[in-house]
Amino acid sequence: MTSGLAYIIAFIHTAVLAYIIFGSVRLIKNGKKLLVTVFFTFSMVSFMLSGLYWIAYDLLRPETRMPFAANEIGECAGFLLLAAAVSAMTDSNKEVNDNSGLPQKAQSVLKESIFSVLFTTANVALWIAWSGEWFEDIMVGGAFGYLLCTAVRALKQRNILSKKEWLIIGGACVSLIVLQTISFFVTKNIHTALDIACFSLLAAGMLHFIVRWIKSRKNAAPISSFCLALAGFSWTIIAMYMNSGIFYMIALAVSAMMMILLLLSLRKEVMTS
Amino acid sequence: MIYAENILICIAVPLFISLIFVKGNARHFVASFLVGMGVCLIAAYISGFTGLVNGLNENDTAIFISPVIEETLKFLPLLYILVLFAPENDDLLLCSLGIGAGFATFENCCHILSAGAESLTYILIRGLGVGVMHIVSMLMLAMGMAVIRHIRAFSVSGIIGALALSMMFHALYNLLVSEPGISSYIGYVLPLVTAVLLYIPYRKFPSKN
Repeated sequence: MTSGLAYIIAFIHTAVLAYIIFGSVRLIKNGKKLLVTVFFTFSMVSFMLSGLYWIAYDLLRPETRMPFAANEIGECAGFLLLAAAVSAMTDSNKEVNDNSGLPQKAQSVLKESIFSVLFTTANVALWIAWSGEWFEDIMVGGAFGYLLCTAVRALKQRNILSKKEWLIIGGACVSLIVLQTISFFVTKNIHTALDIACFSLLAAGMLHFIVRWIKSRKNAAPISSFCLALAGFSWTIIAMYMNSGIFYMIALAVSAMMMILLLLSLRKEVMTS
Repeated sequence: MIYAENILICIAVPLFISLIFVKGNARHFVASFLVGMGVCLIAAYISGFTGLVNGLNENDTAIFISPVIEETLKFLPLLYILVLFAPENDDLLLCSLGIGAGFATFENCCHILSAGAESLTYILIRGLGVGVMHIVSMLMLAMGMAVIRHIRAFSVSGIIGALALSMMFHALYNLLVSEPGISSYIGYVLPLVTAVLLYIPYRKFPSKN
């Protein structure tokens, strides 16, 4: 990540995060949904410090591989704190049964949770195969897997996605893992073609979540928008970790956009509570 | 080569004796200060060992390994105090300041003994940089933990998140000061700016739980 474009995107990403932190601190001052807003702000601060560390490292030690990527600690913190914010938000928004007045019985999310764990494990295996950094990849994978499970649980429990959408997303995940695994055993040209195919699939997923977020912003509850933005954010993280070069930069730019969508959803949730 | 254990004994003995005679919050501060110095020695052992095992040089160990080890070890006594004694916010912050100050003092002593203390300018910069950084990172951690406790969200992910934040801050500081020039100036200023920014919420921070 030494090209000028990469620096520009990284700086924009950090500036966007600074804006998001400013916005979420204002939400904390509001005093509503304190738990969610505090965790969200901490999470964004973690991502910003991680981004700053990466920029500083790239500027100070260009072309040098980190023996231990300290910025990944910040990313882990960001994932964990974001998951804590989502858990706090879904816990405080439990739907109530009209007849009994008790909280609605939650839908079973066992299948989806198992699938998320398997998908994360497959991703971690691919990361290790690419980088050879066992410890860091397992550490980040654990934190990201927890975030993914939380996002899936929130989406499933609120019936935000239809059955057809779940099947398409599941199919896309399996396709990604299969295509990336095949790419280890093919020639360079086919490898590039497979990379482009994978990124197209990931881009389609990102676009889908953005469109769904815009639709939900008009019709659905704010928490649904937040969950969709979180799902989109998780998807862009997969895209970032699965790609390098220009594809990585596109995914990084989209992830900054997803963070803005998260803030907008959170703001609406706080204002309407 | 310096004999860090001997230096620790030399500094710790008068403080330990004074611990018998001071009372209340002052005793808590002195005890935390002693813990901070002890933690610094243990962190130096573990960081050095980890760096050696991974084949890293002194500079790389300071940049990549030390922030993780040092922040984790500083965090453990704070967690112990929080869980076992459930102190008021004031007392928690006092203990965190004591641990941070003890850590920074002992680290500075060892650094001065090994690198020399001829240049007053360097000593001032070093004192302000490292001294403020350890105190600020501990204060951030303690305030984060107090907030998490206040909003009744004492979850594992919240605590690990707060710890990782302080690690990132420390890692960023160590990285910036590792290279001479503008980056090191930014690095030395970073804790001071953070301390000033932190002072605003610190003043308004409730003294009780």
